[in-house]
Amino acid sequence: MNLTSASKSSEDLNSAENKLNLLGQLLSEDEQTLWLIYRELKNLAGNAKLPPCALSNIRAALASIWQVTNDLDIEFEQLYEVGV
Amino acid sequence: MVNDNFLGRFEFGEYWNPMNETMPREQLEKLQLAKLQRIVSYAYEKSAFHRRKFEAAGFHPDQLHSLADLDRIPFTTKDEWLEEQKRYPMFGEMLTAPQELATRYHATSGTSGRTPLRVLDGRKDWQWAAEMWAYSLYAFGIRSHDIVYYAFGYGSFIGFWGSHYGSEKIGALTIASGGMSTEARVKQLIELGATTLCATPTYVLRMAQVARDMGIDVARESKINKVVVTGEPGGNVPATRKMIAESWGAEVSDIVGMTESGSCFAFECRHHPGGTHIMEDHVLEETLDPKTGERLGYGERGERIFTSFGRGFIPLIRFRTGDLVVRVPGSTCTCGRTWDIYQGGILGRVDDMKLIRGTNVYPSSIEAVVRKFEEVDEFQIVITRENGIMDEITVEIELSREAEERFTVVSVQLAKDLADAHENLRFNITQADCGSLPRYELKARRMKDLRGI
Repeated sequence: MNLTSASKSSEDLNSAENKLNLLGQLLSEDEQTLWLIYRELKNLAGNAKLPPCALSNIRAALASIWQVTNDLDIEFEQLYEVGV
Repeated sequence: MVNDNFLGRFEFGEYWNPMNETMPREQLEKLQLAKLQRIVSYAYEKSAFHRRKFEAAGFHPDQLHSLADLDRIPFTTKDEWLEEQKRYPMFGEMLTAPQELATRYHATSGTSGRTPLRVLDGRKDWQWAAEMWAYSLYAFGIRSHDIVYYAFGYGSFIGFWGSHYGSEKIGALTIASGGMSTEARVKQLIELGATTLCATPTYVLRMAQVARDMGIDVARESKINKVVVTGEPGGNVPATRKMIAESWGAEVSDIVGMTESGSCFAFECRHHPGGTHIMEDHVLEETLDPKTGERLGYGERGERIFTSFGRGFIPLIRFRTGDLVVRVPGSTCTCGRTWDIYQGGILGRVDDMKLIRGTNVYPSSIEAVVRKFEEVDEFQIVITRENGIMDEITVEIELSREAEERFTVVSVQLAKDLADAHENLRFNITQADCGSLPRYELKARRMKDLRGI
């Protein structure tokens, strides 16, 4: 099964397809997937209902994927509001 | 049997981040501007310190339309930062987020004799700090099959902390030697088959000396083939590099960073271009005349001004580092990176130049001469003023046990070579007893100015 396409809603796909990177270019398919994962983790990292084991590891994962989106010029923003 | 795909053998050749490391300059500048606009706006919005500074200078982030607008942004100085920490303990009003969100604390080593500078990092800031090291170590040729040995004390000085995590990112077996003695470290790195040694240049040489006293030739008996040095000059001093390379039978890479920036910002790749590539996708570096503030071009010696795109907890924008550099194009290296190079690494500090009887003297220029003498194990520079008028400079040298008898010959030649390198300035040479001069694991302080000026 293609996990990527299975987990994307059509709304997500549209926003990822139209998303521009820091150089003003459209994202490749892999980059779109990375950006969607980043966005999902960012939503989860702010979810205080999750237990510490989940929240803490999600924040660690978000820090890692933040680095990927930063290195690949997909996104560059600060994340302290969600504890990262 | 483990599938090779899971052994971390993702060796993509030369670059950690191929796209950015070879990006055309025009695009690189576009990327820098996008990041600069974001970090400057964030600092203005979240940090009272930066807002005060920007407003006092009549600057607003909306005025930043191109990199040419950079001059509108006021500088940040270390004195100002320290003053801010004193006025609003512990961290000043530079923080952009509540202290509770920080996960790491580090401080400067305080080698300049002043209060150490305190810094905080959040989760992603630390991720970035390690990433900068991963770029650098990868560029030097360190891969997942390497065994990387850290001869480092792991205190609150940032030192090799980020490097340790960067090595783990690459997937290398990463060994922390913590509070072990030098003898124990020498034995352990041989026993574990370490291939890469990371330490300050002074300490790398110290380890080789101690090994020699233990009857061990590390060039022959260890598997070290790469030595990474940082934390102080030395890795960029040709004679010191040669000595390190010969002692260990290894290649040397000089990687430069500072606590203020949160990580390293420039590295020497495995093509050894005679300098360090600036990681221009994550930092913005300018070279200015330290006196006039005039922007300098390629090949001109000036002060390094630093802006970080990595650390958001304490944004560092147009920081006057006091480092002296000469910038040249990336094309002077054969590696294919488009990132500019600091030729010769960090050449010295604006404030560590000494004027002796009209001649400019830098500790690094003395080290460059002294390290050519393999008889010298350690040295110290002492500057005094005789009768309140005449400045004198003395280099105390400690010779290895085997060379102790050769002091007269060595001192005559050394005095001549030092004079030749410093407009015929007279240097006094004295002999220190074997083992009497201080040894350093972190930043060496070999120059003592006793003139009281």
